[in-house]
Amino acid sequence: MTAVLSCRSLSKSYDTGAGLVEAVKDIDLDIRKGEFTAIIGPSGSGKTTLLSMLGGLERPSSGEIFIEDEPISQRFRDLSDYRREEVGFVFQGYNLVSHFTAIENVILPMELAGVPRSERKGRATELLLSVGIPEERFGHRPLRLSGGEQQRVAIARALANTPPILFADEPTGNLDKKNADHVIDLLRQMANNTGLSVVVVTHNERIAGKANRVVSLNYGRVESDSANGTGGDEGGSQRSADTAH
Amino acid sequence: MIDTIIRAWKGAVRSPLRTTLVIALLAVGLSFALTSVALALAAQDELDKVKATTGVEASISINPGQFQAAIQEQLEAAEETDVEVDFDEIGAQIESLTSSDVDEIEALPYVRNAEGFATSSVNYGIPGQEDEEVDATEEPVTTEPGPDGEDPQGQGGQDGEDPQGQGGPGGGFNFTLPDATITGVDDPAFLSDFQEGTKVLAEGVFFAKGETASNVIIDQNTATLEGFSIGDTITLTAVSFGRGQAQEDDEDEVAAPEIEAEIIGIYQDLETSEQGGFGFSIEQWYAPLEVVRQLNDSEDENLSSISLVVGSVDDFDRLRVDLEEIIDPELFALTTSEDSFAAISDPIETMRNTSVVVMVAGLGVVGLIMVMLMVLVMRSRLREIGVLKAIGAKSRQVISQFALETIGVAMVAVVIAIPSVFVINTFLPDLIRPAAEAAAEEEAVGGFQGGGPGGGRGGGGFGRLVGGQAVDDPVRTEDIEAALNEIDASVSVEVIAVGAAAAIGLGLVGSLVTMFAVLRLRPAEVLRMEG
Repeated sequence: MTAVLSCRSLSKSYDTGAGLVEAVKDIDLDIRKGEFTAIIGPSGSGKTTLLSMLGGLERPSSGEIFIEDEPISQRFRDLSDYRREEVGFVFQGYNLVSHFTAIENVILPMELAGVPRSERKGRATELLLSVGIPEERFGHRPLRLSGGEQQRVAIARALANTPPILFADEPTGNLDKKNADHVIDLLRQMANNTGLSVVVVTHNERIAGKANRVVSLNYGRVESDSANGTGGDEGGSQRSADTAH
Repeated sequence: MIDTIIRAWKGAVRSPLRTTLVIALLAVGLSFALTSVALALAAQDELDKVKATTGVEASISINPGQFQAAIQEQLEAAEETDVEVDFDEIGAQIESLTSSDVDEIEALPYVRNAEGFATSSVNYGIPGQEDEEVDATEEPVTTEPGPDGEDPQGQGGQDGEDPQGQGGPGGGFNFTLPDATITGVDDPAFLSDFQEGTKVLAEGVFFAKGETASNVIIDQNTATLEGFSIGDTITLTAVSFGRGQAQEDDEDEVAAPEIEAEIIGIYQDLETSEQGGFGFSIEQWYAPLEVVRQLNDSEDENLSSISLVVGSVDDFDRLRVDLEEIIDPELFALTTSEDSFAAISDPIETMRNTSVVVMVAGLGVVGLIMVMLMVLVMRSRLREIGVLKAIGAKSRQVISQFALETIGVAMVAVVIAIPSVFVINTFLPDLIRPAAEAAAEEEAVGGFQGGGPGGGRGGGGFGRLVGGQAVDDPVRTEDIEAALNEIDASVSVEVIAVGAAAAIGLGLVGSLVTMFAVLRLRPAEVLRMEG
């Protein structure tokens, strides 16, 4: 299976004042098309840092991220271009713009990407309907939506510019079990049906159990990287922590 | 761009109450600032107007030093040769201005006009009654030897000069004050006292421009005292340096020029009237230039002074330089009315400067409010900035969105502030307007110490006697007050432009806060703001 995104020797360290803390150490990873990958690990294991680097929210201290075998540092003059064109992001706290309506939040990335005005509303409508937001809720501001609805609007927003990869950081962390299942099922369907690669950071073993592939981090390193039989139709490649390094 | 404007608009109205409060605060500060701008502009306009109309007069007259030198020389010669002082010789030594000087001065590009004046001291009589000369004021005056430049009559000359040489150095002599000094001018429109309204024609008419007929305009005091009326004819006898005395002493002396003149006008001196009517002074009369030249027995075109008007007070520096090419600065003195300009312009400048200070303070306060508000806004909207960056917005897109938002808010505040200028204008100008009385007093103390009440304008000293046209009269409190009251804030294109600039400036100041936040915030921090 083709890797849409890969990283090699990816490391991130922070200067805390009391010395350097290596949050992520020397990670190699390939994210394949249509694969639903769960990154799990205990708190402080480097999950969110890894996701931030893969999603272009943070620059690595060393190592490189590749899109179709091309380093993103060469392909994109600015990481914001990478974030806008290649990836979508879903946050635990939804992070919708509070004074925008649901549909305006979905249109926002299209505005930033310069999508023609005539196309925006149609595409946003399509996306919102596809994530299960009824049309009568399109004009509601986030505070008038439930947590599950907000997260689904956030997913629609993340997919606004049709990125090949979607990153989600604890997307179900603020949701009840029913809504959490809906959101995860939605992401998995998208991966299966549209070829979207989904990378989810989670603590939740049950959520991770629905992924095609589970990457386990500990102390900033890949502890295990395994296919998950129950996850999806396509199995992930199995990669041990040892082979990954 | 439209998308950015729409996002900015939505951001601005996301919290209507807070936005309203921000706009109200900014509008109040901007109202003061814009009113101050309007006042400063009005003050500058008034200053330009004053500059072109006040203090632009100048007078060139014979330097008193010429008289002093001539008298000194004659007195020394008289002492050495033990002969009488030759008063005619004194007069002959005085170098006068000429009509060609007037032409050259008038040709200077910044000189609006120039006019020559001649003066003559005269005694008057009624034709056919020479033996019973009518003169109530004629009293022999004896001077004692005194120091240079003293004015034994206390006539209040502005320079304290003694043009008649009454108190010359080294010795004294008897003389008789003339009845009047006649100022001759080609065009009566240049008689500044009448132009300024301190003298008004009570009866009769002015002589025409270029007139040569023997006409005279006399003062009302003399007319009342002697019972003169329009159409009466009087005899005018020139009184030159000591000539009256010389005539008394020497019967062979050449007779002084004498002409018969018709009274065509009687004027009232309003300032003398205000000060109690009669004063001890030599009366000022006016006649065509040709008449005075006849009295002076002047064959050439000698003048005793030249009055001129320049484009603005700023031209005086150039005038001083150019005059050195035309006349000898040692022999002739230039008196300008720059002090008059300063008397009016100083309080106007004070008001303008105060307005500028209020404007700067107003804008400073408004800028500070804007920065503080933006800091608060940024703190509450950091997540929004982070999200925008995380979903791919470029820093400049975020910055321009917030800049437009703050500029928009400031624009609305300006739109409210502009009509508020009318409200602020009802009290702010009074708060910053300097007291005209204080300015006038300060000017009087600093610049005009001559001219006692008895002398008044009529006894204005050397400049008056030899020049005829005073140019450095004190500025009246009412004039200063009138000029200050002219300064009124009004909404003009300039004020609106300044308001728009202020709005953009404030927006940019606010944007600096945004810029700082946007550039500093890493999108990954949004992930840390969860919860």
